[in-house]
Amino acid sequence: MNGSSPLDLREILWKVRHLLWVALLPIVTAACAGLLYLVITRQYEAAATVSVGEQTSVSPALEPLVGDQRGPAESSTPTVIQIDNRLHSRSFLTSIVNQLGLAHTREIRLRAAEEAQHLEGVTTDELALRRAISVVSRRIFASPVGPPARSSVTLVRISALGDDPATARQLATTVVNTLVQENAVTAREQARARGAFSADQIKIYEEKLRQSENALRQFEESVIGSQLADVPVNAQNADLARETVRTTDEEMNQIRERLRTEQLQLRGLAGVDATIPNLENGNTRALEARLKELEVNLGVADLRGAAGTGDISAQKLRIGATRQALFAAYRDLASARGGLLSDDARDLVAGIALDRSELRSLREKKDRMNAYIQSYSRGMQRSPRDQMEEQRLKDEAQRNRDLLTALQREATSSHLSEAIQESQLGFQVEVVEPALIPLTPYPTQRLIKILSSALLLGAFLSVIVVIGMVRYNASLCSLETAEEALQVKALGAIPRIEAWSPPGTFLSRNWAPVSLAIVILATAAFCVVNGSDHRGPVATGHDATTQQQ
Amino acid sequence: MARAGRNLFTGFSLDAPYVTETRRILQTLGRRTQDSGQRVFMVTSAARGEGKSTICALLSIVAAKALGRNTLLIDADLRRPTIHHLLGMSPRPGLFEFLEGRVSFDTAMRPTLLPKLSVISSGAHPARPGEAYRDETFAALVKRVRGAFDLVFIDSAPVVPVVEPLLMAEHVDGVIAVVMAGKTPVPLVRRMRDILTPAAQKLVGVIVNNASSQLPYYYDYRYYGYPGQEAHSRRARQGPTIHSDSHPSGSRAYKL
Repeated sequence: MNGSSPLDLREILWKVRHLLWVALLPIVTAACAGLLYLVITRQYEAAATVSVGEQTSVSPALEPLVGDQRGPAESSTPTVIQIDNRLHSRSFLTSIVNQLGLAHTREIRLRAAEEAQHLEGVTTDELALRRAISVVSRRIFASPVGPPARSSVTLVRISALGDDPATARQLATTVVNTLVQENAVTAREQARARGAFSADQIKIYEEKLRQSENALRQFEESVIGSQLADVPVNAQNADLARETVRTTDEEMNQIRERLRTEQLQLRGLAGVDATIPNLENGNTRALEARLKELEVNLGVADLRGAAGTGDISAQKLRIGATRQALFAAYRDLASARGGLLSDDARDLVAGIALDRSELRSLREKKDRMNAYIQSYSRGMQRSPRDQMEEQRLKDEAQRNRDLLTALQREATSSHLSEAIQESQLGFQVEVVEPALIPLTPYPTQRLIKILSSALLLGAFLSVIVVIGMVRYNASLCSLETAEEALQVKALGAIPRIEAWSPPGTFLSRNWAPVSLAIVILATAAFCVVNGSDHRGPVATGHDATTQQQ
Repeated sequence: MARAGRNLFTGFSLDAPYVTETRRILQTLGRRTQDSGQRVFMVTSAARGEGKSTICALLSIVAAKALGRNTLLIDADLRRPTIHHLLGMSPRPGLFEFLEGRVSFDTAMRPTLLPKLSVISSGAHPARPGEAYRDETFAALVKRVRGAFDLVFIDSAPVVPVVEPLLMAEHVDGVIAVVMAGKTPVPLVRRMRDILTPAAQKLVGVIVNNASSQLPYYYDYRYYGYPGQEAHSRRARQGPTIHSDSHPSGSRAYKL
């Protein structure tokens, strides 16, 4: 056969079966080594459980302001990892070390002094602090309690290792208390920062709101259109204009009624065929124009809302004076052109001319008011583009108004939060279960971690050993090898006589299981002897009461 | 391989796997030596503990019982004699006494449970085994037995540490090498080949021992569901199955 032989699964299983004990030896040895390591470096673990609440967030209305400043990873980072990172931060560890005075222990000081001799620019105190921080960092852990909670509160187990139960408990308690205190301080500082931020923003948004409201008002006025003698055209003024038109109509009707009466009186005095002379000249035309202007101005003054003020009264006095002047002018013209008319008839003719002038001036006033009303109506039917612009300005004003309200609320909230933190009425991190004195020196998690690592390493070594024994085995393992080495044909292969003991000495045949047994027995003996020497404290009723306290 | 108090006659069965394989080896050996007329074979190995004595005894027993050949088994390993243990008999008188001229050939050669199998055991353990070997006497012995037996198997010392096997190889018709699977190092086998170079033309073949434990699975009879194994094991537990009505040197009752 040329080329490589095909993979024979039976042959592999056959070899594995023959090398089973050899394969087991590294695995069992590694596991025993892990156990020995656990026993030699026995450590007690004290654990406390804390509940971690959701971080205080700003009001929803402020999200547009602060949303960009938050990274997406921050919100998705698990709480436990955040707590663990916090526990292993240098500042936190320094605080723990200082509280417990770990940098001043004799062992750490001695080792730091030795190291300091070889390092320039680093003091013994700094090295001791670094060493103590390193030791504490390796001895505190944060892990989740149970499955991830759907609520905003997460339970986190904070555990600490120590060489003896009291040390472990002291470290765990110190870590938890420090975490709670630092968290309260941090929350208070955050609340203050939020308050300061809100106060700054309130000023800005008050100005923005004022500007946006002015912009909206100006736009409305510009869109509605023409202004009448500086009178803004709006719904209120439109209503006033309508009222002015109504009163003007009534006044005109009264004048018309009076005209008919005067005309009848004139027929009685001057006869049925009497004619009314034309009483116009430059003076009367000027006075009539003046009267028209005064009437229009009076209407505008009404729209300005100046009713009851001196402006209206003065306007009415001017109208009255103008009417008197106009009547006098008509009276003079009637005297000059009246011919045979009596004095009473002349007065009637002048009065009729005056009433006609007043009708014309009132009509002018009415037309102006109607024009104003029409302008308002046209403004109400303006283009969609203008409507969109108006809506945009309204939205902007409303948004600024909302933000201002939210900022004012946030400022109030931050003051409340700060007050809560000051009075310690509420924490984001609360101790649910304080640390108790551990009873056994074998923490479950450490046990699992070390043993699983040892088993993995053992399995890896086992594979290497088996492959090495198969690949680099120098002994004869096939007829072909024997034939090649002796350069003769093989006569045959004789199996072992089952009833007889296998070839070789007992140890040469059974070195692997014997080694396994020795390793297991030695490990068991060591564990038993050391276990009896270092028994953990037995919990008593007194201890339990003390721990609860 | 052997254990004190237990010999090859104990639980012997023609259905046993090792007997079947031995028969096959004898068949192969007979076919190879049919034309040359070889009758005297020396069984040796590279080092001790490779099962050459057991195989040598097995070849002799099976040749006598299964093939009906008139067979002689000589234990020529004066340093670590084993044949007498394997056959359940005393070592003396044997080859050492014959080489020393203390006993005659007829006295040294003793019968066994099998009528067609005779044995010359090692004899007394010599104080200096290296000096005990007499090449001329041994050559005369071989010359004598060649004409008297159908097959002669000589169990020699290992080749690498001792020189006698090479000297004996000069007088025998063929040399059979025994290696133990999973134990004998390949370089040691090559060394044996180098030592046997002067008698290389007499090397008729190699027998691999302990095949079921170390060779690939297809050398294991259990893979094929060997039919005689259960009966063989049961008989092995029950006791000897080769009997003789009379035994010249033993007090037990044997039946052939």
